[in-house]
Amino acid sequence: MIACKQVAKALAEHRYYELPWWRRIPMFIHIRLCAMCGEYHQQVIDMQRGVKCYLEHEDTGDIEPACRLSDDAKKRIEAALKEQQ
Amino acid sequence: MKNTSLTNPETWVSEHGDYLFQFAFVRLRNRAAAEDAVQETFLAGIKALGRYNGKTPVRYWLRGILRHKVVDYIRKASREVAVDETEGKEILDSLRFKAFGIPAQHPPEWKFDPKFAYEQKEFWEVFYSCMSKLKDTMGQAFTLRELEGWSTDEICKELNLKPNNLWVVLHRARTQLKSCLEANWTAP
Repeated sequence: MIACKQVAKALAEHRYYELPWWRRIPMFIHIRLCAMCGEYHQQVIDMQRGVKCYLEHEDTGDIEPACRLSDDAKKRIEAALKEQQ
Repeated sequence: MKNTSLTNPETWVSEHGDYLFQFAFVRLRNRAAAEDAVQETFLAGIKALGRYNGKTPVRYWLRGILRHKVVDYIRKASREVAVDETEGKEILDSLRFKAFGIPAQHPPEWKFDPKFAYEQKEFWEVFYSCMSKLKDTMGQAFTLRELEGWSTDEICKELNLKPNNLWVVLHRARTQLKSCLEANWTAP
């Protein structure tokens, strides 16, 4: 049986489905039997799903964060582009 | 030969500047570095315009160039910031594993329902803001692992981290991101 610490380490470091089968099977059994590791595993999965959803939103450009290029930076970049052309 | 019939670089800043800046800022967490990366991307784009064939929208083509610039910045920054060896031990202690690696307590539950939150458009602004607050090695490791999908070996090599430290750094990044989301997200 592998220890909780090893499960936490593996879950933090890798994506579960990317692990080779000989590491996934003992982990799967452990997660099913140990409530604490099961909760931790679920939280890691929730976070990874969040990042995946974020990347999908980023792709479509439908996130409107408060930070934008400053006017000064825009002017500086436009000037640099003109010079380059 | 520059292919300006497919895209006009004069409109790049107004059409794609903010999008590319947001892309760079959430990964670099430094306004000056993100602005520089965007400028370098546009300049590299002008040089490579002859190779742009129009099959991909210009925004994604420029984003591909920016991705490399971002990684270059992270690489450069990781050489300048020394990794604090004591950090790994502190995080390990904070996990409170008892003898034989058994945790002493349950992980704290989510203070909101993530499945419901992921369906709300406003949530992603909070998520963006919280990811932008992850600092230094923690932010760099999280970016390369979660946003760019790099392997453990690649990250350890680029960030000069020991494999034994990477998992604690990633664990700490997730914990901080979770706390920030819980503090800033209010379900409608």
